[in-house]
Amino acid sequence: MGIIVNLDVMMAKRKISSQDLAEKIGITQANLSILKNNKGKAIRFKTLTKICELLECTPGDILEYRKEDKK
Amino acid sequence: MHLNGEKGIGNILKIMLQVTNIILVILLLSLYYLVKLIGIHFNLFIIMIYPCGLCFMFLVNCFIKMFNSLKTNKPFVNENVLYMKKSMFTCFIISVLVIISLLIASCVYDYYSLQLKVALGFISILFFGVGIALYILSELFKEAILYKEENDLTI
Repeated sequence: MGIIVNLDVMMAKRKISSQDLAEKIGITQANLSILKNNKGKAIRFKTLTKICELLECTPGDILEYRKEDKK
Repeated sequence: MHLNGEKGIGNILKIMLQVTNIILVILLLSLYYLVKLIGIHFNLFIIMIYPCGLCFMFLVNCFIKMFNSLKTNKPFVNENVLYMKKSMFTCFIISVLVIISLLIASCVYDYYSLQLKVALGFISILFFGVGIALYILSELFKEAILYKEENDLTI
Protein backbone atom coordinates (compact mmCIF):
# COMPACT_ATOMS: atom_id res chain seq x y z
CA MET A 1 0.00 0.00 0.00
CA GLY A 2 2.43 2.76 1.20
CA ILE A 3 1.45 6.43 0.97
CA ILE A 4 -2.17 7.10 -0.03
CA VAL A 5 -3.25 10.49 -1.37
CA ASN A 6 -6.69 11.52 -0.09
CA LEU A 7 -7.05 14.59 -2.26
CA ASP A 8 -10.60 13.76 -3.37
CA VAL A 9 -11.86 13.95 0.22
CA MET A 10 -10.38 17.41 0.86
CA MET A 11 -11.48 18.68 -2.56
CA ALA A 12 -15.07 17.58 -1.81
CA LYS A 13 -14.93 19.28 1.62
CA ARG A 14 -13.71 22.56 0.12
CA LYS A 15 -16.02 22.17 -2.90
CA ILE A 16 -13.31 22.75 -5.48
CA SER A 17 -13.12 21.04 -8.88
CA SER A 18 -10.05 19.29 -10.33
CA GLN A 19 -9.79 21.88 -13.08
CA ASP A 20 -9.82 24.81 -10.61
CA LEU A 21 -7.37 23.19 -8.26
CA ALA A 22 -4.96 22.23 -11.04
CA GLU A 23 -5.09 25.77 -12.45
CA LYS A 24 -4.44 27.39 -9.07
CA ILE A 25 -1.60 25.00 -8.19
CA GLY A 26 -0.03 25.48 -11.61
CA ILE A 27 -0.04 21.86 -12.75
CA THR A 28 -1.95 20.11 -15.53
CA GLN A 29 -5.20 18.24 -14.87
CA ALA A 30 -3.44 15.09 -16.04
CA ASN A 31 -0.78 15.49 -13.33
CA LEU A 32 -3.44 16.19 -10.71
CA SER A 33 -5.22 13.02 -11.82
CA ILE A 34 -1.95 11.06 -11.45
CA LEU A 35 -1.68 12.39 -7.90
CA LYS A 36 -5.31 11.62 -7.01
CA ASN A 37 -5.09 8.07 -8.37
CA ASN A 38 -1.90 7.28 -6.43
CA LYS A 39 0.07 6.78 -9.65
CA GLY A 40 2.65 9.45 -8.79
CA LYS A 41 6.14 8.48 -7.64
CA ALA A 42 6.86 11.66 -5.68
CA ILE A 43 5.48 15.09 -4.88
CA ARG A 44 7.49 18.30 -4.67
CA PHE A 45 7.27 20.33 -1.45
CA LYS A 46 6.34 23.34 -3.59
CA THR A 47 3.28 21.48 -4.93
CA LEU A 48 2.34 20.14 -1.50
CA THR A 49 2.60 23.66 0.00
CA LYS A 50 0.28 25.11 -2.67
CA ILE A 51 -2.25 22.29 -2.20
CA CYS A 52 -2.30 22.84 1.58
CA GLU A 53 -2.63 26.62 1.07
CA LEU A 54 -5.56 26.26 -1.32
CA LEU A 55 -7.38 23.51 0.57
CA GLU A 56 -6.58 25.07 3.98
CA CYS A 57 -5.29 21.83 5.41
CA THR A 58 -2.11 20.11 6.57
CA PRO A 59 -0.12 17.43 4.67
CA GLY A 60 -1.50 14.85 7.10
CA ASP A 61 -5.03 15.59 5.85
CA ILE A 62 -4.02 14.71 2.30
CA LEU A 63 -1.35 12.04 2.81
CA GLU A 64 -1.94 8.83 4.69
CA TYR A 65 0.37 5.88 5.36
CA ARG A 66 -1.01 2.36 5.12
CA LYS A 67 1.14 -0.65 5.92
CA GLU A 68 1.86 -2.95 2.97
CA ASP A 69 0.32 -6.46 3.21
CA LYS A 70 3.16 -8.96 2.76
CA LYS A 71 1.49 -12.26 1.97
CA MET B 1 23.19 23.09 -32.81
CA HIS B 2 20.87 20.54 -31.21
CA LEU B 3 20.45 16.83 -31.80
CA ASN B 4 16.73 16.55 -31.07
CA GLY B 5 13.72 17.86 -32.97
CA GLU B 6 12.75 18.36 -36.60
CA LYS B 7 15.63 20.73 -37.41
CA GLY B 8 18.23 19.01 -35.28
CA ILE B 9 21.49 17.52 -36.48
CA GLY B 10 19.95 14.07 -35.82
CA ASN B 11 17.83 14.54 -38.94
CA ILE B 12 20.94 15.19 -41.08
CA LEU B 13 22.69 12.15 -39.63
CA LYS B 14 19.60 10.05 -40.36
CA ILE B 15 19.64 11.16 -44.01
CA MET B 16 23.35 10.28 -44.22
CA LEU B 17 22.61 6.82 -42.84
CA GLN B 18 19.78 6.32 -45.35
CA VAL B 19 22.14 7.27 -48.19
CA THR B 20 24.72 4.81 -46.78
CA ASN B 21 22.03 2.11 -46.80
CA ILE B 22 21.19 2.76 -50.46
CA ILE B 23 24.87 2.74 -51.48
CA LEU B 24 25.33 -0.54 -49.57
CA VAL B 25 22.40 -2.16 -51.38
CA ILE B 26 23.79 -1.05 -54.77
CA LEU B 27 27.28 -2.29 -53.87
CA LEU B 28 26.05 -5.70 -52.69
CA LEU B 29 23.88 -6.19 -55.77
CA SER B 30 26.69 -5.20 -58.15
CA LEU B 31 29.58 -6.80 -56.22
CA TYR B 32 29.89 -9.77 -58.60
CA TYR B 33 30.13 -7.50 -61.65
CA LEU B 34 32.51 -5.06 -59.92
CA VAL B 35 34.84 -7.88 -58.95
CA LYS B 36 34.81 -9.24 -62.53
CA LEU B 37 35.47 -5.74 -63.87
CA ILE B 38 38.52 -5.26 -61.62
CA GLY B 39 39.73 -8.72 -62.59
CA ILE B 40 39.66 -10.33 -59.15
CA HIS B 41 38.73 -13.99 -58.77
CA PHE B 42 35.21 -14.35 -57.23
CA ASN B 43 36.21 -16.68 -54.39
CA LEU B 44 35.01 -17.61 -50.87
CA PHE B 45 36.77 -14.59 -49.40
CA ILE B 46 34.76 -12.22 -51.64
CA ILE B 47 31.54 -14.14 -50.91
CA MET B 48 32.05 -13.38 -47.19
CA ILE B 49 31.38 -9.72 -48.01
CA TYR B 50 27.66 -10.55 -48.50
CA PRO B 51 26.84 -11.67 -44.92
CA CYS B 52 29.00 -8.83 -43.53
CA GLY B 53 27.18 -6.36 -45.76
CA LEU B 54 23.74 -7.64 -44.76
CA CYS B 55 24.65 -7.41 -41.07
CA PHE B 56 25.96 -3.89 -41.61
CA MET B 57 22.70 -2.93 -43.36
CA PHE B 58 20.76 -4.23 -40.35
CA LEU B 59 23.03 -2.16 -38.08
CA VAL B 60 22.43 0.99 -40.15
CA ASN B 61 18.66 0.36 -40.05
CA CYS B 62 18.77 0.10 -36.25
CA PHE B 63 20.57 3.44 -36.07
CA ILE B 64 18.01 5.03 -38.43
CA LYS B 65 15.19 3.87 -36.15
CA MET B 66 17.02 5.31 -33.13
CA PHE B 67 17.39 8.64 -34.91
CA ASN B 68 13.62 8.62 -35.55
CA SER B 69 13.08 8.78 -31.80
CA LEU B 70 15.37 11.82 -31.63
CA LYS B 71 13.15 13.54 -34.19
CA THR B 72 10.15 13.16 -31.87
CA ASN B 73 12.18 14.42 -28.88
CA LYS B 74 11.74 11.11 -27.04
CA PRO B 75 15.16 9.43 -26.97
CA PHE B 76 14.74 7.65 -23.64
CA VAL B 77 12.34 4.88 -24.67
CA ASN B 78 12.55 1.10 -24.30
CA GLU B 79 12.60 0.66 -28.09
CA ASN B 80 15.99 2.38 -28.27
CA VAL B 81 17.37 -0.01 -25.65
CA LEU B 82 16.11 -2.90 -27.79
CA TYR B 83 17.69 -1.47 -30.96
CA MET B 84 20.98 -0.98 -29.12
CA LYS B 85 20.96 -4.59 -27.92
CA LYS B 86 20.20 -5.79 -31.47
CA SER B 87 23.03 -3.56 -32.81
CA MET B 88 25.38 -4.99 -30.18
CA PHE B 89 24.69 -8.58 -31.30
CA THR B 90 25.04 -7.56 -34.95
CA CYS B 91 28.46 -6.01 -34.22
CA PHE B 92 29.59 -9.23 -32.55
CA ILE B 93 28.37 -11.24 -35.55
CA ILE B 94 30.24 -8.92 -37.95
CA SER B 95 33.36 -9.30 -35.80
CA VAL B 96 33.13 -13.10 -36.04
CA LEU B 97 32.44 -12.96 -39.81
CA VAL B 98 35.50 -10.75 -40.34
CA ILE B 99 37.63 -13.23 -38.34
CA ILE B 100 36.31 -16.03 -40.56
CA SER B 101 37.22 -13.91 -43.63
CA LEU B 102 40.70 -13.39 -42.15
CA LEU B 103 41.12 -17.15 -41.63
CA ILE B 104 39.98 -17.80 -45.21
CA ALA B 105 42.42 -15.18 -46.52
CA SER B 106 45.27 -16.65 -44.46
CA CYS B 107 44.69 -20.39 -44.75
CA VAL B 108 42.84 -20.97 -48.03
CA TYR B 109 44.26 -18.29 -50.30
CA ASP B 110 47.95 -17.35 -50.21
CA TYR B 111 47.84 -14.32 -52.46
CA TYR B 112 46.21 -11.82 -50.08
CA SER B 113 48.64 -9.29 -48.65
CA LEU B 114 49.71 -9.07 -45.01
CA GLN B 115 48.33 -5.51 -44.87
CA LEU B 116 44.83 -6.76 -45.76
CA LYS B 117 45.02 -9.44 -43.05
CA VAL B 118 46.15 -6.87 -40.46
CA ALA B 119 43.34 -4.54 -41.56
CA LEU B 120 40.79 -7.36 -41.19
CA GLY B 121 42.10 -8.13 -37.72
CA PHE B 122 41.76 -4.48 -36.78
CA ILE B 123 38.21 -4.26 -38.21
CA SER B 124 37.21 -7.34 -36.22
CA ILE B 125 38.51 -5.84 -32.97
CA LEU B 126 36.86 -2.51 -33.84
CA PHE B 127 33.40 -4.06 -34.32
CA PHE B 128 33.84 -6.06 -31.11
CA GLY B 129 34.66 -2.82 -29.28
CA VAL B 130 31.67 -1.06 -30.82
CA GLY B 131 29.48 -3.97 -29.65
CA ILE B 132 30.73 -3.56 -26.08
CA ALA B 133 30.18 0.21 -26.27
CA LEU B 134 26.60 -0.33 -27.48
CA TYR B 135 25.97 -2.69 -24.56
CA ILE B 136 27.19 -0.05 -22.07
CA LEU B 137 25.07 2.58 -23.82
CA SER B 138 21.96 0.36 -23.67
CA GLU B 139 22.45 -0.11 -19.91
CA LEU B 140 22.87 3.67 -19.48
CA PHE B 141 19.68 4.30 -21.47
CA LYS B 142 17.82 1.74 -19.30
CA GLU B 143 18.82 3.67 -16.18
CA ALA B 144 17.96 6.98 -17.84
CA ILE B 145 14.46 5.65 -18.67
CA LEU B 146 13.95 4.76 -14.98
CA TYR B 147 15.08 8.23 -13.88
CA LYS B 148 12.88 9.91 -16.50
CA GLU B 149 9.84 7.88 -15.42
CA GLU B 150 10.54 8.85 -11.81
CA ASN B 151 10.82 12.51 -12.84
CA ASP B 152 7.70 12.44 -15.03
CA LEU B 153 5.67 11.01 -12.16
CA THR B 154 6.98 13.58 -9.68
CA ILE B 155 4.19 16.17 -9.32
